[in-house]
Amino acid sequence: MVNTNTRVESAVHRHLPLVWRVLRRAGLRPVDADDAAQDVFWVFARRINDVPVAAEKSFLVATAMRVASERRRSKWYRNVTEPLDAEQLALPDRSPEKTLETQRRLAVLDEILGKIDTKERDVFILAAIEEMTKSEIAIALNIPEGTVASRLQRAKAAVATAVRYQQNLKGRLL
Amino acid sequence: MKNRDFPGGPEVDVDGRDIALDPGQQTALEQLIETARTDKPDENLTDRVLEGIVYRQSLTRNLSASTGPSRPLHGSFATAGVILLAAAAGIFLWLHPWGSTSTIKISPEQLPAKSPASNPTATSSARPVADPCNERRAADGRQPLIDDFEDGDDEVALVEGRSGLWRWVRDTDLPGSSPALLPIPRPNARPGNQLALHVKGGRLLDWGAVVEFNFVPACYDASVYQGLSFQAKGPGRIFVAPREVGIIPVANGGTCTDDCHNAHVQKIELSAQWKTYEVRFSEVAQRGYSKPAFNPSRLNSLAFQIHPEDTPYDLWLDDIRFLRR
Repeated sequence: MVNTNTRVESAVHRHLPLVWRVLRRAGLRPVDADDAAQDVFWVFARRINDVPVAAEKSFLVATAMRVASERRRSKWYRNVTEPLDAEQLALPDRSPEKTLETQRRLAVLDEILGKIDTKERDVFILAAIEEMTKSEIAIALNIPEGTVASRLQRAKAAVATAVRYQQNLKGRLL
Repeated sequence: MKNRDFPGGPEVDVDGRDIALDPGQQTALEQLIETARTDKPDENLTDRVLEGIVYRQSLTRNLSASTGPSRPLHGSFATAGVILLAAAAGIFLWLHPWGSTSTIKISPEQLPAKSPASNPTATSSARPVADPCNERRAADGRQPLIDDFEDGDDEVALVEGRSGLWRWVRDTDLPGSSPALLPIPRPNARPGNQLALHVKGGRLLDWGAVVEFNFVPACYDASVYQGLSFQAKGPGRIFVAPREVGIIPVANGGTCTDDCHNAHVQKIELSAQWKTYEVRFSEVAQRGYSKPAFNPSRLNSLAFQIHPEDTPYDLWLDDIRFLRR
């Protein structure tokens, strides 16, 4: 087994799916999200003595958002969509059809999220997908709770617009 | 969208925009969000992350060991410095006690700075951003040809102060290893129109491929024209991207510090036969809402992008020119 700090190991086991999802929805492709997740937990491992246990989740989310932003900026062209490839992402517990459908839905959602201002999108991801509370988001993003609320409202409006646009464009959302 | 902090809410946002969706759209959106909640990384990522941390820790330890133990400080100046630093730290801690009632505020740590060579988008806030458009060249509207490739070289037509070299870059290319891009005889050649650009390649999985050239110097004023026209043929589609200086990172000679590389593009559906396409500057758009219109007076480069979903690709380009008003 990997010999590493118990607390880091525990945090990785507990928060890796959250960190990875945040990185994915923040615009990174799966392979980028894997690498970025390593960066996030490496930052955590180095700062572990400064991070109270109660603040681990917020710290990791904040770091993930910033790492994702750095990575997005370093990409040459960002408006690239993930190719649909059922075999590439097929999981043992899912059929290729189910995997393809999941991937297609995620691609639709990512296209919608891609049309939102990044600050509003960050709040939407944490509130709507990760179901974090207003105060948790405020701490993670280091902004006042009122700003969280207003950004979320704007994000919802932008999502609604993007959903209508998507449906008008393709005739259906799903 | 279940969240105890955000129940229901008004039907419009703070700017008065409509939030409400019809029931079908709302259900579909909730299904998308539910799918996103179940999205998860590969099962072995946990081990890879932990192994990565162990590896990085060992590197850090080896680095510390190789630099050897720090030498003891000698001399009165060093001793005085240490005493002064300790005193300053004591005063700081006395003025800023870390009580148990203080709100936890943790800012994420900055990643280690990379050299400009390894991080092409690195920017320095200390360095003032020089606008390359201070030394721009401008088209006069009399010679719209960018390149018809009949001269057989990889340089654009040297007219109206324009210059630049065509290149073909794929996401699999190592920096500086892109193949040379020279015109070759085109299918259905006619007298006076013998050569064209051709790129062909297999499946690409990252950002795809691009045929492009940079204006030299880095800012060109093409506002006298209303767009571009070109001949093309091939399967799939391409994205035509006249790029502004404002989307190029500072480190690459542009002025961009945020949302870089979000080029104004127009999608072109290609056909199996040669066809002439026109792209007006007023029609190209950036990704996202409420983005500024394209400014042709700050042109940095011209690109024909091929996205991964349009690979394998087989693209012919010819007779690229600005479009007169």
